[in-house]
Amino acid sequence: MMSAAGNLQSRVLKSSWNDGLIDLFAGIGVLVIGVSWHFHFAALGGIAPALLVPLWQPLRRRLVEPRTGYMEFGEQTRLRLSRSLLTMLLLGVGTLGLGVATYFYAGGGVLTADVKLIAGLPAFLIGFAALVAGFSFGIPRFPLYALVLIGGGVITALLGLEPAPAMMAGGSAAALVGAVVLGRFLKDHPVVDEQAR
Amino acid sequence: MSGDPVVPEIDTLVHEPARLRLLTYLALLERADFVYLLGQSGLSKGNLSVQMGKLSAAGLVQVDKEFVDNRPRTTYTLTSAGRTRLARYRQTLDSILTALPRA
Repeated sequence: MMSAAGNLQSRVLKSSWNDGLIDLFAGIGVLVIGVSWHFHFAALGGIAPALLVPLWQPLRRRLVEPRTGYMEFGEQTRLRLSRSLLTMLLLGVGTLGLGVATYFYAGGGVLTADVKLIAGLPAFLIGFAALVAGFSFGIPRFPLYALVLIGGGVITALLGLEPAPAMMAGGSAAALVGAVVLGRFLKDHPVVDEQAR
Repeated sequence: MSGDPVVPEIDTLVHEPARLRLLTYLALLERADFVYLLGQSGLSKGNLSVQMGKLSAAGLVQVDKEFVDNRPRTTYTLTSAGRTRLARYRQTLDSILTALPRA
């Protein structure tokens, strides 16, 4: 059973994602990876997260903090977030390793194995990461995107489709929902002037 | 009549509901600004300002004022004295609640 303090911390953590900015950024990131994959311009897929991550903090400072304020998580929450990130990374690497091992085992080390299954792996992995992030960080909408991505990955594998559309679908879903949530947040939360007391 | 009271005295500075709520937020977070505490606590600006002034004057909370993007920002951090006082308050309350007969 979660302690009262743990429960309060979880609620504080959960309330910090109410603005939709994380959904929008994650969605755009996955969408760009999907589009770049589709057009065989993989480098852009790598650049996109590198460009988006440094943008997130200044945009949050400009859009969100004047409305709902600024806070820093305590050490306990920061440790929890770090542990979750590490778990996500290890799960991702482990799943990827398992996929590659299965691929080579099935093909006897020759790249003639059933490519259909591998095509679904990128969306599946991103979806899995979204699922872990959703539960670990308390981001309420992430399991929904995970469902789209994992489902897309499975459909891609079963039907032998290209890997990109599943990622584009998941990324679009997150970006669209994020944009709507952010729009509503900006409308419902006026800028608070702390001096006007 | 004097001596140690059987039922321990409660720290009224911490026990006041609005201040206890603010102290709890600051105990959970590293630090938080005026606007964040305003939104989370549901207090009015004036009340929040007054309560924070009392906590700051007693040395339980550290106040920092800065400008971010040309906007003033007042940030609050629980001091080590504040943490100790909150822990002692919890102990006191625990002992009272434990001794309290169940209905």
